[in-house]
Amino acid sequence: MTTGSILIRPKSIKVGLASNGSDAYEWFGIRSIRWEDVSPWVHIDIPAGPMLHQHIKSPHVEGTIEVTDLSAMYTALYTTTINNDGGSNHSAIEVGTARKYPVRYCHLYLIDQNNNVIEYSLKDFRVNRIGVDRIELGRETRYIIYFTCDIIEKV
Amino acid sequence: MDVNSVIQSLLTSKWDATNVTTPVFRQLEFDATSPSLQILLEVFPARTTWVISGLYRVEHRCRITLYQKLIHYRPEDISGYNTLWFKVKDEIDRILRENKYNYTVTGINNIILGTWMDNIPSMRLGRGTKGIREPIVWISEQIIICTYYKDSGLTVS
Repeated sequence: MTTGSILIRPKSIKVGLASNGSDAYEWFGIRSIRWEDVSPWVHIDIPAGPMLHQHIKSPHVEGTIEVTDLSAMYTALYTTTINNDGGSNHSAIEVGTARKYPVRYCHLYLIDQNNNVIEYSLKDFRVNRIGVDRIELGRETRYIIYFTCDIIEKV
Repeated sequence: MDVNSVIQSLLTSKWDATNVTTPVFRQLEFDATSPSLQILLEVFPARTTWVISGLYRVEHRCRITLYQKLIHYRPEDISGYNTLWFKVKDEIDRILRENKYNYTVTGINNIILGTWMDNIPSMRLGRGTKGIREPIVWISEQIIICTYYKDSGLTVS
């Protein structure tokens, strides 16, 4: 067991209504995940005056997930119930209309250098855009999910 | 880390005897008393790379050698040995592939898979080349790399 903490790879993402088995789907096949938060500061320029930085924009996180397993991604985002507000069940992306809904439960599992599972909670995970990164001869196709969420916290 | 023992316990615990007969496992040195189907595990010196102060990434190479002694030399026997030979290789590959990222494998983060390299003279003999003394033993080997992280004894800072 080593000291320090180094993350070495993603393990899975669990999406659903709640953490228990029947209400969540554990999504494997994640190639990579990255995120960064956005700047809340807005610079207001005053001619020949002091520069003002105002904390105006609401903080949130934007990121991307890269996956290669299409069927796992389809199950996670298109068929797993992640929100039942208003009495009807929704998936993160609705098949047919491409309407998107906030994911009520989204946890990210990463592996550190001691093979411990590190868990992060992605509050109010929402899919922004989804796309395919080039279908190319001789290369495994990757799907990219651009997401946003309010905050990412270590559990 | 004793990578040999970790890989041996992985192979023995995951070996599916319904796929193929379980071979004899040995470490460091070929055991001439069990030559009919033997897997020998040898460990090579590790390569260490600095990551942060106090923590190193280790790439530890382990050579897996498969030995199979031919007892009968009739064509149908050779054919049977051949089938067994490839089944054993496939079983080793299956276990390593399925447990490459198995984070419950003690202490190892990733197994970088190797490719089988046959000892060509030994393989050729089983197909009828003359001029060599019996017994004929087929030999094939692959080198896998096990990566893990290790403390240097310094304080992480």
